[in-house]
Amino acid sequence: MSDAEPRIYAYGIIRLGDGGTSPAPMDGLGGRPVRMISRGGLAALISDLTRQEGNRIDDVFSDPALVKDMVLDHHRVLQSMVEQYTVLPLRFGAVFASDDSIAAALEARHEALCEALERLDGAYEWGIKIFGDRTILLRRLREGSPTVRAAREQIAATSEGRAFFLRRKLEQISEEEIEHDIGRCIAASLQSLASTARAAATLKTQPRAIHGRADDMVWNGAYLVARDSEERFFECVAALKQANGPSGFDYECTGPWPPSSFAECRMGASDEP
Amino acid sequence: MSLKTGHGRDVAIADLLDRALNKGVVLWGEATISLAGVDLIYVGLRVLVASLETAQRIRGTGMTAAESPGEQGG
Repeated sequence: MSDAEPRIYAYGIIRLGDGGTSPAPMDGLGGRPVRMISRGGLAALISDLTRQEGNRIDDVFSDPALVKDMVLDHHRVLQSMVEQYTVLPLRFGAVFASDDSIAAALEARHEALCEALERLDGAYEWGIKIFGDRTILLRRLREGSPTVRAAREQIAATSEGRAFFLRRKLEQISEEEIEHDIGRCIAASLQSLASTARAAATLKTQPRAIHGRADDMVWNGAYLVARDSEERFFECVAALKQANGPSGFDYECTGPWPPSSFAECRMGASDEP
Repeated sequence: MSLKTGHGRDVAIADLLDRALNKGVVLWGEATISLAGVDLIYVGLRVLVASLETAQRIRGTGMTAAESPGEQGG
């Protein structure tokens, strides 16, 4: 950890030529105005950290309530730029010692940053979540699977002692079948969606305490979709909903997001040229 | 959470955290002061978010409300 006083927060990188006009004035973290530092046609969106934040950055970062506000500010700044610019989001928490150190980073990483921006050109990030209702899946399995139906008939026709073990076995088979159904649905869905998108990324699935629905999130991810393919992408989501809804699956689409999920690279000391 | 995307949709804080804290370019210049400890923040925030959203849902269903822990206008 350096002794220098940390004080500049960086949100993301844009290309100066994209916007035509300068970005509209806006507030960043702690209400400080967002400004730009530019080198070689690239500009970093930055703002000064307030004295309190800048002086004790580790304390700030360990205060969840304060960090939540900062994450929201980070997102708001990037979000406000995505319609006007191709935005390369930085991971939350990039704090620099000075304007000069940001300018130096832009110079040192110029080529990699330009390439990363090009990959995002003309596209938005859209989030996709797939949910599966295991109650419906189980019901359909009981109705539809010959194996399960045969096993149930066998249980009904057998003695109580033996039926107990058969029931346990049936439960196990049913669970496996349901997981297979979920896996098949996910694979088919991702294949359809990929045909309309430039790239795909997987995100962590969320537990019920986070997503708040009665069914289970079985897949969570993001697609980088070119703006002229958006119509096809949304049609694909609607078609999947319609086709797989009766089987107990549902789809949620969120966005557009600043394309953080497709800006995952480290330009760190370890890969120093 | 009342934050909107460019298309006027609500943003779920959990979706936002996944992206802001786990994705995005790490521009690790020599003078970058702090990127360490972000995983720790994430754990802390997840707990916070889970408790906030649970509290909101309990209120929403009309059950006896648990006190929302330190929530500010969420």
